[in-house]
Amino acid sequence: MEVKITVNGRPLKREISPDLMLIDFLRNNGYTSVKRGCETSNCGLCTVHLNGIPVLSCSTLALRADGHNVTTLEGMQEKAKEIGGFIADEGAEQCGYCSPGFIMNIIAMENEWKSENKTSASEHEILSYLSGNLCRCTGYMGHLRALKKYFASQGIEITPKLEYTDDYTGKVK
Amino acid sequence: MFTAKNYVKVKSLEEAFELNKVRNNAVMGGLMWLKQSKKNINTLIDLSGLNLDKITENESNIEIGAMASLRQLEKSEIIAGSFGDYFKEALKGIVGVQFRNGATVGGSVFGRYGFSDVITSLLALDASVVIYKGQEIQIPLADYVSQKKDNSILVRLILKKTSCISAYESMRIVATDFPVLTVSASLKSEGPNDSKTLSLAVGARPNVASLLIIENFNTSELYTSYTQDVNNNSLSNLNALVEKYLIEDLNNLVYGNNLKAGSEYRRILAKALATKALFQIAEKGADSWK
Repeated sequence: MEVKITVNGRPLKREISPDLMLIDFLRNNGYTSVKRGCETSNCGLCTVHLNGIPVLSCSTLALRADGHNVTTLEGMQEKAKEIGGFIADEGAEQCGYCSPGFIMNIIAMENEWKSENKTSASEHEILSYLSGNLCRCTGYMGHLRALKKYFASQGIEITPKLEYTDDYTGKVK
Repeated sequence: MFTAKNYVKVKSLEEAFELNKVRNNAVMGGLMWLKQSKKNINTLIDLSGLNLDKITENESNIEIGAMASLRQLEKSEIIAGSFGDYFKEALKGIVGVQFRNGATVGGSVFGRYGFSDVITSLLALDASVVIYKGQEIQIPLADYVSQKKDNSILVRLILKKTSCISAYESMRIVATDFPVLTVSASLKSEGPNDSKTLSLAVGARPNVASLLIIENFNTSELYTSYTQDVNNNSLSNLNALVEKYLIEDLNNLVYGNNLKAGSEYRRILAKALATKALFQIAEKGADSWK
């Protein structure tokens, strides 16, 4: 079947099998920043933006993206380098395999916050938004430090303490 | 991973229904669960061209299209206007934002999955579904999930805009994993203080969620118990309330064993989560009660 997907601003028209997933479509066309991880829709390595919204390309049919815009890390190089720099400075990149998916979701989170005119957020909100991105190497604290500094540079204050509710009383500690 | 020979983006519910009568055809929701199957599908039926991805409201109801994503449900101002943070709490444990952007409300409900936070949370709100079977038919969600899957097309869900206070609790061994047990509770505001209706749904037993309706629930007792527990930093009074009003119905539910937990643990957990849900409800309603 014919599919036409605009990837990073470039229209791609291809003949594909009906059951081809978006991750394979993208990787087959050279967008190898999109990584295959868990195959169970859990790890977030394959995150791309579909019309600006972060989705799992391993679980999105390529035909469902027909006529739509897809953005991968290759199409966000400036932003990716900026965020990647903060991540690297905090030692939050070891094997690097999770980084493309992480950065795509961080960009989505930033875009969502900016559309809501958010000027502050909590560490809990960062961890909650990024809960769909798994890293086997680092333990995430480096990512958290990196994002606090990154968002400070973007004018979004990250409140320093983890906000959580006490499970017993339900009150915020 | 499934295979599919054909793909059709249908232009009408009728077309979807006729295609779905054919064996080995399959309607695709968010694909999250279908992707894990090894089905050999003849034709994939895509409903995404039917504008079923909207959440709308009228004077008496909120309507959630079957193709609305879980993330839309979570972020909807229409939903928040009637139910506050209820769905945000119910859905936050489902994998991650990217997953919830892909998974659909209809796919979650049609699948009748035992682990579904979506079904448990909707059940307590007296939800109903509209299915297409040659014509649109509306049935209570509680009836729908107890029926076997057939070739009808799930079109939308309907929530009544009744004034209520709702709470959601779940137990997960690891964050973002499947739940061990889920409990949702909704207390209707109508009626005298000593005779309100409490709806309680218990899911991931591991069976699909079941709905309990407790009429004549005494909210004066609820808020008194809550106040005492807050003062004493305990849950003993609310525990006693659950023993009084809910324990028989909770114990009559069928709990099973799986890799996540045993049946007896789930039975004990159901009481604990029901207590926590009542705590939440009392806390949310405390101002109006005072």
